[in-house]
Amino acid sequence: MEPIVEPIAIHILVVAVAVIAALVTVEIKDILRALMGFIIFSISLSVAFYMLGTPYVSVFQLAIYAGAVAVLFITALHTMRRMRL
Amino acid sequence: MQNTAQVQTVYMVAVVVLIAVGLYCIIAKRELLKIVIGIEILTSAVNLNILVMGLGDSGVDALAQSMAVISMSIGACIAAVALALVVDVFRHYKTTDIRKLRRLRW
Amino acid sequence: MVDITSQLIMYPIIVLLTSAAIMPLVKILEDHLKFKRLKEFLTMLSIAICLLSLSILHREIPADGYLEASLLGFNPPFGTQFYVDEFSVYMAVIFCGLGLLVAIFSYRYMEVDTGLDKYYGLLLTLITGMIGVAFAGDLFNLYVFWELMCISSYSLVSFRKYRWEAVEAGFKYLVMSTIGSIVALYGISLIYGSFKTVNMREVAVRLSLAQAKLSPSAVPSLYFAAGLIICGFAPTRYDYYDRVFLTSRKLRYGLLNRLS
Repeated sequence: MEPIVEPIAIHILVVAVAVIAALVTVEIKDILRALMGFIIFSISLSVAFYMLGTPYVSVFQLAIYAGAVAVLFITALHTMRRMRL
Repeated sequence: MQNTAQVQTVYMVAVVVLIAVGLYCIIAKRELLKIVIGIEILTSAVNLNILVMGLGDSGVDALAQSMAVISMSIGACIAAVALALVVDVFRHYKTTDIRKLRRLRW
Repeated sequence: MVDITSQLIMYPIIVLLTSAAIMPLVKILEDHLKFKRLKEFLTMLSIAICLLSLSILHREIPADGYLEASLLGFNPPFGTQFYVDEFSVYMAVIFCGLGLLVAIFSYRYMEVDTGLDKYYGLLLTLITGMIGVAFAGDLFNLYVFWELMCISSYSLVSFRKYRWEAVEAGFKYLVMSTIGSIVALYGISLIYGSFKTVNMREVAVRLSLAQAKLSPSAVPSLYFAAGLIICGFAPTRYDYYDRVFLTSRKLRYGLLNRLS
């Protein structure tokens, strides 16, 4: 029994989306947009985890990286912006 | 038809590329928050590698899944500490430029 | 059933982590008391209990043998595991003794600071991480305790956050050491991929069994993984030695100034 049911093209597509999102995150100037890229990167990695047959890790990735860490980043950004004024 | 070895190869190449992207982000970028984002990209890539390494004929090993979850929470801890330090650096230096952080001489 | 010797391994870690966790409660209790130095004495007491349980543990270890504790139902090749022999007890006694000395020294040295409950909690988790690194029986357990030690030492380096030196040094230390430990985790995952286990003894056994029929292409990848682990764990150590050297030099200068 094969644990992986999706054709390999979909795996390559998801991985390519993750790599492109990471590159966009690194290269873009505005930090808030970079954060959006980071969220897309986390979501595509979560989809990859789901396709590998680990839904628990996938939900964890969504909750921690796309949720908690992104909110932490936004909070830090907000604090620094208020300090500058 | 595809087999697990092919999928494993795809993901391993992706992990190497993601680690290269994360290291490039840490080395070349001058924004403090970008460096923290680079650390997070590295952590996610290594989590993906742990899961892919546990991929067997009957799905991913349970040990690999628990290892990935624990390492994910450790990555979130590191992000929290790093962001607290970034806010403190901003409080002292009034900037998030890494080139200004060279006052420390020993 | 869990036998008593495998519980004995956990006692130092349990004592230190519990007293680190109840430190904020002790702070709240202290605000209502006249005696303001409860947390210092709690820290010293828990480290002393830890030393005592280490001495009991040392007596329990059989001659040229070892003790091990693993999660119930997950035997060593699959689960995580603690592995204790004479040398780990020796290292743990060194860490605990140093921690006790630091706690005694901090009694007067940290008097001027606020938020001392967090300081003592971080000190206790730092000692826990070091003891866990000495006791760890598999590579992933080693990584977890390493990160526990690293995160508390980042926070301790930048504890006086009203000074710019502390914050800058803490951030630089965090970036360097975190890259190192992530690289080490990558090496650990490669070793897990080759052997399907992270238990150190099991990896050694399987490596010596497989040495004869190992394909030539697999050897460089194993060397690569081992090199990643060594290079990954090195930066933190380097920082430590740097810091110890620095501290000793400052101490010497201070003593010279005092004498002259």
